Amino acid sequence: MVAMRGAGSGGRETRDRFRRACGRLGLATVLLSTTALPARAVMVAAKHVDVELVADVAAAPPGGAFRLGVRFVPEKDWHVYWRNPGDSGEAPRIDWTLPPGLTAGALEWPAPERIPAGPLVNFGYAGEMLLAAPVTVAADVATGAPLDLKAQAKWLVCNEDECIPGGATLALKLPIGTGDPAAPATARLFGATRERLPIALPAGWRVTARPDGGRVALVVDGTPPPADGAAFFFAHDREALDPSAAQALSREANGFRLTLTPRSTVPPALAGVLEIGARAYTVETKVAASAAALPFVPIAFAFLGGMILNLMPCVFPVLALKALGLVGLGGEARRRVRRHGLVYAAGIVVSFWILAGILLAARAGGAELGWGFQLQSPAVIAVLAGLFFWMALVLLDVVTVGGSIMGVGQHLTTGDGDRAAFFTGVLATVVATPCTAPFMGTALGFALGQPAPIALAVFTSLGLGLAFPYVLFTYVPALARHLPRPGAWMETLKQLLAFPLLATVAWLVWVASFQGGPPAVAAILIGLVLIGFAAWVAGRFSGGGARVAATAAVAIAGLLALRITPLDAPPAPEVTAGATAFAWEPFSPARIAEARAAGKPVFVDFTAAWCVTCQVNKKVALETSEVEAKMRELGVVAIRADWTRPDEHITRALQEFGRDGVPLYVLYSGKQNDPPRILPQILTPAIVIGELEKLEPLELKASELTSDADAHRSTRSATRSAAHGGEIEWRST
Amino acid sequence: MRKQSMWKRSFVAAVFTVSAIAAGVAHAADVAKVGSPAPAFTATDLTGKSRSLADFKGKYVVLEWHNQSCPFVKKHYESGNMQKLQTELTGKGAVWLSIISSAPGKQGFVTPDEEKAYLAEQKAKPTEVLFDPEGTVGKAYGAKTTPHMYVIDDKGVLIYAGAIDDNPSSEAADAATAKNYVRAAFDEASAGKPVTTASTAPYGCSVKYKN
Repeated sequence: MVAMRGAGSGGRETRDRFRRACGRLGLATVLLSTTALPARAVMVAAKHVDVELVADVAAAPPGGAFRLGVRFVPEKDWHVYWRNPGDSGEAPRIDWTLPPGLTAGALEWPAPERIPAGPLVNFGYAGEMLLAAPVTVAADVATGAPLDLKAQAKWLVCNEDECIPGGATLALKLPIGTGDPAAPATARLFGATRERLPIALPAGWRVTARPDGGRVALVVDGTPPPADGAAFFFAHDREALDPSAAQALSREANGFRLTLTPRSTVPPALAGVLEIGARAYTVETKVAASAAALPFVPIAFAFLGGMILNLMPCVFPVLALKALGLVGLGGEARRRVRRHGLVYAAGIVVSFWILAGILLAARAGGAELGWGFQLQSPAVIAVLAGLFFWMALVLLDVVTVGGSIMGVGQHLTTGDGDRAAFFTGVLATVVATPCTAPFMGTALGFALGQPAPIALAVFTSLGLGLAFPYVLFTYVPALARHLPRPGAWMETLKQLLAFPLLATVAWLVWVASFQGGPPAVAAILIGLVLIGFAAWVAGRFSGGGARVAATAAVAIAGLLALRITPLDAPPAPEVTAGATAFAWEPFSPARIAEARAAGKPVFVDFTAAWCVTCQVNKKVALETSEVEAKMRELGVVAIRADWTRPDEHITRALQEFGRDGVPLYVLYSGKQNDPPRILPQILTPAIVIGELEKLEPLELKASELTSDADAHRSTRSATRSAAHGGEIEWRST
Repeated sequence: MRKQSMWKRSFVAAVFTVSAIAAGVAHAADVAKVGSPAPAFTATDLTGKSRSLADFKGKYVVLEWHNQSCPFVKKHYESGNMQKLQTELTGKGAVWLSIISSAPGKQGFVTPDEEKAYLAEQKAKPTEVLFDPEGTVGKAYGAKTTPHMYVIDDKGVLIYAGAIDDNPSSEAADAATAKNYVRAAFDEASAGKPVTTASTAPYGCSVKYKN
């Protein structure tokens, strides 16, 4: 290779003068002497980068094809760019000038590197790069003289501090011949470049993309996540994605997904290069939930979940009362009841739409919210506690509302029942909220991550599920006939149903104690007393004075509830000072990063006081002595991310795992590059210990191994040591 | 009819709950976002005086992230494109602020005198040049490149953020043929129309922020 200082290589002033002389950009033109050796080009040494025109053959084959490319060799710390330069910079451009009979195809861009520049990230090449295109040679190409190949190249070469535009007209004389390979060094360059070109997805892989909140989930099916966790999607279109945004990788049932951040709005389609480990793949996909991907399973589960909600302590009493109202109805009344069942269903569905709408709108506006957000405010908790308390008092006949249950059916037939039925639906939804978050947070979190139509479909299905049992009763008289005959037992049952409601009140007060501390608890309890007073007044006296007094008491209770403010600082993290004295640390991204950097495994428990599943898992699995002992043994740093109160860091962390609700259990191994593992939502000690045992024994000190006489454990450690030498396979649970 | 009143009360309670939920949802973000109020800032001008965005209340404000040594900035100044836009928009009552977020020692960091000389040489017509050596303003706006352009309307709402035009090249000749997004946003908004293209990917050199 003959290296020659080209015109673009002089000092700044020389270059500036040259630029003025050549017009824009300063095109360095290097003309070759016609006596050049076959397939020889001259390397142009421009500012901070050397460029050269090269071919992968020593002689072009008529009727065949070869590759022609521009080789860029940037100086150390300098780089040129990929087709999408990322946050800043500019892609090189090449215009071919080829003799008749030769046709160049599209440029073949090798997979780029990510080159950070302060807070920005560029896509480019910090080392030698070959930007080539296939060239076809006509069979009847003129064979008299060597082919005169020219390329006008323009580029921007940058380091972290400055950028220099450059350009050159590059030339190459290529004889016509049999297509023998080029000189070994050039052949090696073409070979190495081929390794870096994106290839088609292997058979059995499938890449799809769907909107995920304001982000895009790129789902790769058919291959496990890369062992080193290194995967990145480079979009062709500059406008599509934010180049500097991290792309969180999370495991999926049949592969993994990357969470991508758009520049502004979610693009309708994505085309680009997916890099997994050392290989790069061409990816092109629409960003949409295709008809085939309509999530029937979540919709079906939402329906089922809605039906189950009828049995929850918050909802059951309301629904049981309505069902009892059907007892003993016949003919004409039954027709009206059916109508009311449907109106009731409408009330439920509309209420769910309103809740989902508030949440979707707030998230579209950038608020960091997840399902369960309703229960993060102590004021909402207080209002719910008051509502449940009032309902319990009604059931206990402290307030008399419209005679006995037996009258309900007749009442519904008297004309003004539509509104009542609709608001019963609204009421059922409101009372169901405290139960949806704890039991269905994850399902609804999934729904909220979907495009709005799908999210609404899931919520609608949930509402229909909640309404279904009652509607079924109104339509199938045979079912109602199975209910016992009306009688005094109905009064007893009605009063008995007050107690699940009171239990819910107790639970809500407990939740509020975490959010608002003793002042919140005091305010709620005083509010409950006032509501009790109002109920008594309303039940004991009649007339305007009583109504005013009762209304005033309820209003004061309401004001008390709304004045409850969340604590400024979270309460001291719950530290279990039991016999094991195992310490859970409060959530902090920095602490997690630090522990992982130190090679320690980290377990994160995303939880909330109002999340019943979380509380059960905590008691049954996490805070058991065997799990804590295992964590201590392995040096696991245990983090508790308590989402009882709003916390945008935790919300964001949840979103990085594609979740919008708790519980979520994440285990990072001690190795930096291992993807985190996500544990199931229902935990047993065996599940947690099983996952912990898959950790590598990096944290086990030799002394611990030898001093421990437990043969079982030694064997296991040995197994793990053996595994340490080879590839660790991550198994999903 | 007393039965009815129980549902009424329940309804009141339900509405009460829903509104409490809604109230808890309201959040405010403090980073630049198209469609939201532009973040307030204060920086020193060429005379060393503190200038705030609030000083230009009631006017359209154009922000131009600037670095005179960046080839992409040169493209728009050496072609006269930037000066033309400055003259045109300030002539229509807009305020043009060129902001330099280059840190000391980094490319594009200049003294006020050097910048004055540059403005004179280029016949540039910004309303003010503001120095942001700590990068505070740049980061509040998420400025990534020079140039990176922002348009704030007369109500203080950010109506455009992104590239100056639709041709992300460093060649001066391209400036004349490209569609200028800043002009389009200003013209549409001042005519009371919604901005068609309110957000684009900026192009240029990276802003030379402090490490």
